[in-house]
Amino acid sequence: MIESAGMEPVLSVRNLHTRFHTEDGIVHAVGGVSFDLLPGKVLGIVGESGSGKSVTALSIMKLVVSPPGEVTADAITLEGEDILGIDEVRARRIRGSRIAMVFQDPMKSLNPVLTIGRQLTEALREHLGLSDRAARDRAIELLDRVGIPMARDRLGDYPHQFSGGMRQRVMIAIALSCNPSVLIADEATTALDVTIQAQIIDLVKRLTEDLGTAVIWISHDLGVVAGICDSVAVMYAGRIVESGPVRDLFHRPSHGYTLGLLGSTPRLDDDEERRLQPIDGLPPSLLDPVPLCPFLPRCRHAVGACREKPPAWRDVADVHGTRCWADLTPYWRATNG
Amino acid sequence: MNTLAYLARRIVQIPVVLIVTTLTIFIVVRATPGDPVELMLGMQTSPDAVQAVREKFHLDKPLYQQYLIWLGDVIRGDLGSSIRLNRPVSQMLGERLIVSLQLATAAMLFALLISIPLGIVAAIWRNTWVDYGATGYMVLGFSIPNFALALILIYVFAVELDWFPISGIGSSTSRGGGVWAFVSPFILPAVALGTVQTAYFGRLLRSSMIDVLGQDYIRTAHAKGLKPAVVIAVHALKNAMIPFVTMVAIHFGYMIGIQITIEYIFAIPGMGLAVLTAVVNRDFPVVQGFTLVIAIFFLVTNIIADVLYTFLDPRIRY
Repeated sequence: MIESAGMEPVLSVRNLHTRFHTEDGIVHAVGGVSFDLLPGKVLGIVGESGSGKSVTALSIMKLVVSPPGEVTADAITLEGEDILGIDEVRARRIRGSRIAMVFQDPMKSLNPVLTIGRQLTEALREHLGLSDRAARDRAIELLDRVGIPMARDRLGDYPHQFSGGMRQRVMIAIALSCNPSVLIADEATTALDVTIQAQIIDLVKRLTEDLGTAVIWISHDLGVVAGICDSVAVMYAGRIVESGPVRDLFHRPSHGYTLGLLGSTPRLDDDEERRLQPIDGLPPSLLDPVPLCPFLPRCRHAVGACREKPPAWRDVADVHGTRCWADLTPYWRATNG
Repeated sequence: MNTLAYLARRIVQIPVVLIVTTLTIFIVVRATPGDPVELMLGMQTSPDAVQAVREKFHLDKPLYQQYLIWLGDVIRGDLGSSIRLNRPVSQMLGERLIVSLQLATAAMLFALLISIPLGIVAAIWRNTWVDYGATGYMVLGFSIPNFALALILIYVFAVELDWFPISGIGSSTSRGGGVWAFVSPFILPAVALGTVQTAYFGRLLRSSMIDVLGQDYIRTAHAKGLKPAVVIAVHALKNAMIPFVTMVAIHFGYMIGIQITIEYIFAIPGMGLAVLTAVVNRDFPVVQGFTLVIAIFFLVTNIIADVLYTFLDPRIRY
């Protein structure tokens, strides 16, 4: 849905479906996600909990446990190479070296009983075949780069000896250690203080620009996404409902859900009279996908067509598309003051 | 507080625990009916002879004095002598403690050899036939009484197959010579004694492995593209081993004290049988001496467990 404008995408996903076979039935966590990630660009994926953002990432990483998980797609290509049907051994060579991931909670994502040095050098030794000595030197360099003071002395330390922000810096160092072409940051700043968040976002932005790494930034926080991303895909109930360049999407929200998200996000330049508008209701169950727009029961802007047929993908502007029947142009001004 | 200070505090606690333990045993053994001297000398002995023996073992004195005398002797390193056998308790202990330690070690090795792989595979392939098989074995291992298992083992492996001797621990009459002659008599008793632990440890490791395998850092390890064997052996096992190793250390102390039935069936001259005989004959010094040693053993293995804990888990500092 985000089309490559002439450039060859580094990661391309077509019609990704991820289902989980549970006792209650089949949960359609991801229901046909497609996107292109251009080299060196940052793609944001936003949506609330359970919208399928993380499962999309894990599916691309081939980290969905099967059973109960089941991943299908028309195509997933990494740097032109098909990685959809590859076996586990080849998938393992790609993970951590060509696609790397940073997770939400850096305390839980680092192994508590292994030293930072060990956890940093593992991927280097595994993928790049570095000697212990070379891996150690590279680890020090990486820690230094992510802004950990006295990196040399800290290799022998354990995760609990670092603060939350420092741990996430270590996670970023680990993820970038093998110079991946794609970095997936899954709610990487959610567990951190706001001031630390800004530092981490800044760090990721700077490092990935230096290294030319393309980034998928997964977040439920529109503010964070606005700050770091080139383009955004909004996910709801396992599907991308709207996507486009970040400025265009924020200025011309074209899906009822995107509009709702923007309305429920506090802004510094808000008028005092402007009240935050929560999105009423709950996300739909993913057990029985509805044929119509899944946001319909909660949508304030639904039109007649919404109750008759599933919304088709339509273009709003250049590389900006939506899966929504309603015409939201009257609101464009309203949400942007 | 650092680890050394913690250790020092734990060691200081030892004498307190030992006094409470020995005092309890001292009172309980003496409060039960039966007189060691009469049991030894018989009813027809002259009162003078009985009195002489009583005086020799301070049995004519008040209870608190007896305890203080015994305690004073222990502090000087003298555990006294057996009333019945007239041998120093320390000498009897020496012979039997070694046998019991050897048997407990053998049983523990067997328990670890079975339980570690069992716990790991059951956790990795949980809710598959591998797990069901392992869990089934664990239920069986828990349920079977060790004397029954001992008899089955003897019947199958000693009588029918003739692979291992029935007895011979601590005796010089083992067939052949060398290592096998020393090791072979331990195998059946060790299996009989350690089977409960294979089930217990296996279940413990299975559940802690399942817990660890669901942690975020395991996903991180997979996301790094590490080999599954490395993820299991390094990232998961090191975490899962923390509760496991502690439990193993505690159980080692426990295994010293529960060998009686096994010793009886395999005619092993261990501590259990000696304590049983001493209790039946009201041989107070032997009961007290052996209780003291078992209690010390229990305390020391517990302290070792705590120390191991700090080694395995860098987050724990006392």
